[in-house]
Amino acid sequence: MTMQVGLKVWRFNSRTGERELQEFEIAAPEEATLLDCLDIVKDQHDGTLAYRKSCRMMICGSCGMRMDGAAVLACKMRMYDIAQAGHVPVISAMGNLPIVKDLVVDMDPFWEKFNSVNPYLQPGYEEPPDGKENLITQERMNVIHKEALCINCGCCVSECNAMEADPLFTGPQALAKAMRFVGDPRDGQKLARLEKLNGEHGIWECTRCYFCTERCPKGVDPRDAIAKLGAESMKEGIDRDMGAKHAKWFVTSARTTGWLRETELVPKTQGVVAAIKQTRFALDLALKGKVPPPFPPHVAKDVKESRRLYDLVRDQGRDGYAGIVQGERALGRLSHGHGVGDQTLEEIYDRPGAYHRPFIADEEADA
Amino acid sequence: MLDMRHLGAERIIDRLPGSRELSMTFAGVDPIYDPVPVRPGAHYHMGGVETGNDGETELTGLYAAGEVACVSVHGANRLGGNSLMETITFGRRAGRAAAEWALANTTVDLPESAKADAERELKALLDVSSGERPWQIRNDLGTSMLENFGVFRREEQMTRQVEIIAEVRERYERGVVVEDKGDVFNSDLTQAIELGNMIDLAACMLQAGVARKESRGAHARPYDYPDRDDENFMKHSISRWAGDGPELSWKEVRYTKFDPMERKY
Repeated sequence: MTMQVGLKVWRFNSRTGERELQEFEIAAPEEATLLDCLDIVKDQHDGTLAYRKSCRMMICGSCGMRMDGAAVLACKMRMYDIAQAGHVPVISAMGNLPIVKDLVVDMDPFWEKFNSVNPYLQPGYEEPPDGKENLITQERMNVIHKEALCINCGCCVSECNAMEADPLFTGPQALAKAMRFVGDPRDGQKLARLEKLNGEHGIWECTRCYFCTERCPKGVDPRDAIAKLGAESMKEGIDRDMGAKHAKWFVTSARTTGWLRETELVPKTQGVVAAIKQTRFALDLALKGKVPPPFPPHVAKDVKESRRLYDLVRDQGRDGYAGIVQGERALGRLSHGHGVGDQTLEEIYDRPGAYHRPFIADEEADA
Repeated sequence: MLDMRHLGAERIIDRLPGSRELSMTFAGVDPIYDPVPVRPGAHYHMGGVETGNDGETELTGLYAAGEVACVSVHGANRLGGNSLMETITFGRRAGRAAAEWALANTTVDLPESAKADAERELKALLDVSSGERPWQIRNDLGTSMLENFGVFRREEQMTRQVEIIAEVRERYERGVVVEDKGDVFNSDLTQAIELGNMIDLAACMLQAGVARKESRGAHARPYDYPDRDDENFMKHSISRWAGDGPELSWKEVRYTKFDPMERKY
């Protein structure tokens, strides 16, 4: 069965700098993905269209591009529903990277940042005594399960708002990759890595807009990775950045009063001098009732609960990235609108319309 | 249909998350609840450019690594991890050796004519203004190769495919139209060049496939030669391009630590 698919593609000619929105109407098989549709356009309609592709099965990371302004992997994007709805999506190159031609971007800045986090294991462990291997439990590797799924497609970088503001920002992909090594129990350079990541253009530049996590086609959750790096940095005492100070003050105020002590937030984060400069602003806020007066401190009735929570996190050793990792399995969260794993095998086989139970020759004998 | 339901949700999520993602994205099927429709596909190229242990090839200065290379560690079987060995181990060795060679040899003696020939070929390809687009030929090549040189191979189908390849080559050589005449990321041109290479490669595969009268690894001839024949075919097939067609020769298999044996599982 074929379907009619309409596409509007932003063409770009790097020689002349011209941009043009070109519309195509094609016939494609019903199971076609966006990449299949682009192949049909290139083969049968306009051979000059340029885009990257390779594996066609979401593992090589070549075909990152934008559809209706949001980064997607073209090979993962099934077009049936879109075509049936009569929608004609706009296809354009990824953001935050220079365009080479049409949908092809220059990935060099991406790879530079990727390389800047030294994306290789730096073994620091002792050689195993009898020349055998060092065994690591699955549980300890689960910590970086999501980060290890990254295929370097660049979709997160394309969407990153912080990078739009500061093109030198290390960015979600490189930072997720950094977490992949910081969280690896075999890596011996954790502290050196964290030190560097706390520097200029590092983790604290992230604005937490969550676009990277939202658009990642593989479930890597780069923003989560950045949060883990921040938490682990603070646990290791690397807290000189304003971002770290800011976060620490939230914890301190919650522990001491159960409230956010906003009046002290600015001096604790930006320092006393910066705070004095903002006195006027603070007074205005206070007069309008936007911030409570610092004295006497306003202590919450159930502050003991918040203190207990604080102690619990410490006692369980969850004050670093461990507090953010919950044995998560990114791909495990994929579901088709129903809970996963809450049915027995018998229930699965007996569902109405289910494919019949397979015949296994020796099953009876085994039972 | 591939039924994985008996494995249970936990094991599927834990051990087969990638396969589950593929099934859900491309077939709309969650393997926890339903069997997955499957079909043969080209997953990995065994064989390739013959290399030594450092990725070096017959041509001085040309190194090959990864799926394009054949260090001949695994023979004709696609075992789990083939590609890891080719990339992680031999990719590293090839990269290192190639870099060392490049640093030690800053200029390469190439006959002037080689460059002129390549330029002329490119120009000829770009100058074609009427004729077939490459995709039609590529599709016909792919469909016929899957049918006649797919999972199970029959002598008469392979022989027929040799003729089909000759026809495909004739169509290609009559001239295919490359619409993109530019010099920036011109994948229309590279795809047309690759099509020519694919036709050559198909001819090499067919010649070696017909000549190998046995079943070994991925080369399965269940109808006429269902068994492995170590006496006659414990050897590598080597194809060289000789003017207008492939030339097949054989090379001894070198083994050291492990004796080759039939796979019985």
